[in-house]
Amino acid sequence: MRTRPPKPDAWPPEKLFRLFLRPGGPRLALPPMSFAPRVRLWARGLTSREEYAIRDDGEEMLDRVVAAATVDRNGPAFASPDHLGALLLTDFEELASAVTEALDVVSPAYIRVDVTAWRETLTEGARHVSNHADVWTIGGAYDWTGGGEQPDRYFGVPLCNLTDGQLMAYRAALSVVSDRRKATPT
Amino acid sequence: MTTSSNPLGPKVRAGEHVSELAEAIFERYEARASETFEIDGFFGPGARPIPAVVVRLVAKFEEWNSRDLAKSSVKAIISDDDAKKDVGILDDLEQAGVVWWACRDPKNVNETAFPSPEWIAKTMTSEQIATLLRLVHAVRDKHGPSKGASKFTPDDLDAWVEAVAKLTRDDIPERLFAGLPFGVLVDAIVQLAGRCERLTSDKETLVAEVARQREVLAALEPVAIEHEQDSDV
Repeated sequence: MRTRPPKPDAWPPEKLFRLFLRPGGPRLALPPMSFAPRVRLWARGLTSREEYAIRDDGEEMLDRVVAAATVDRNGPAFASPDHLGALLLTDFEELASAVTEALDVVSPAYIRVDVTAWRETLTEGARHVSNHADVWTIGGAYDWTGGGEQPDRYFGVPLCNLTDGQLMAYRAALSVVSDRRKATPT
Repeated sequence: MTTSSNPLGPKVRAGEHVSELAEAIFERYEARASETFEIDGFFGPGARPIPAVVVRLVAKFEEWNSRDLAKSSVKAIISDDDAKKDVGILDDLEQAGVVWWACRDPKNVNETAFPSPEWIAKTMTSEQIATLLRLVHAVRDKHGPSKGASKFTPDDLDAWVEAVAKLTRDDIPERLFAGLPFGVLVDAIVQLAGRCERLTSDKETLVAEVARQREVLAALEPVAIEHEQDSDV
């Protein structure tokens, strides 16, 4: 059970930063479920659009979050929330607990988290030597002549399909590149 | 009454992709855990005594069905719009639905022990429904993952209070608390109520102390003025 609200200190900053740069979007492995021990499962980060769509539906929000976020090696583990129907309530508790814990790491949302703390942690992660190549690639895909942020160019997906965690990591990388550019004027 | 053996109900369309996980879940659904309990003072239709029930774990679709039935029952029997939103009535009817799904006939577990959720809600007393619900929870606690549900430590609670306080400028998304067991949330509220009570008591003590000090100051003021006048002379 989660005993603390979501904070970015659950993982080393450099590892957390890399989590959001994963090709195909951020996802985190779930522990084996007692009701399906041989099935490998992950929780994937949800986009703001998905989060709000779930909230708009109103009812059975946790069911919808679990159905949307749980993936197996082939893609969505539940084709729709209706596929949760056969899950025993006890098993649902186990799955929902694991998924919500994972989402606290893999799916930070601007509306829900301490943005300053996440920015600081991800910036620390972006400064780590293991992430230099990615950080400079992000910097290279940025229009420094005034075009602004274009995270879709780096991630290769439409902006609306990016999670807040990906945007946070992207902005953290840009701040690191920006600081270095200021420190070494051409 | 025989209940549907299709674990997904009518919602899943033929040919829809079913994942490896979904297949594992269906297998488990078929072999779900149950316990037999002797019960006293329960009667079925025609005053037929029901001396025992098999209580089995409830599935998600049964919970959804209980909620849907509760809503349609409320719509059918209540005309007042405000009453339709009464969470208490809905909860009672939903619990009757959960009891109906969970309690099975010991002679044939494919049959429910009672005729319908509406029958349970109409003919059983609140105490009887509560008794059966306790059995449902007992089976759930025995076979569920949340045995010995933990509580927040005071430090955990501080962290939650801090997180909520930071978010109060926005609407607080319910998902911040999603996945926390009901018992743990209740315990957190009890802990917070205790803190509020202590703070209120401390505040009252401080207010009383301030009032007492003001009285002392008021009593000393003439003496101080007199002393000042004497000094001037």
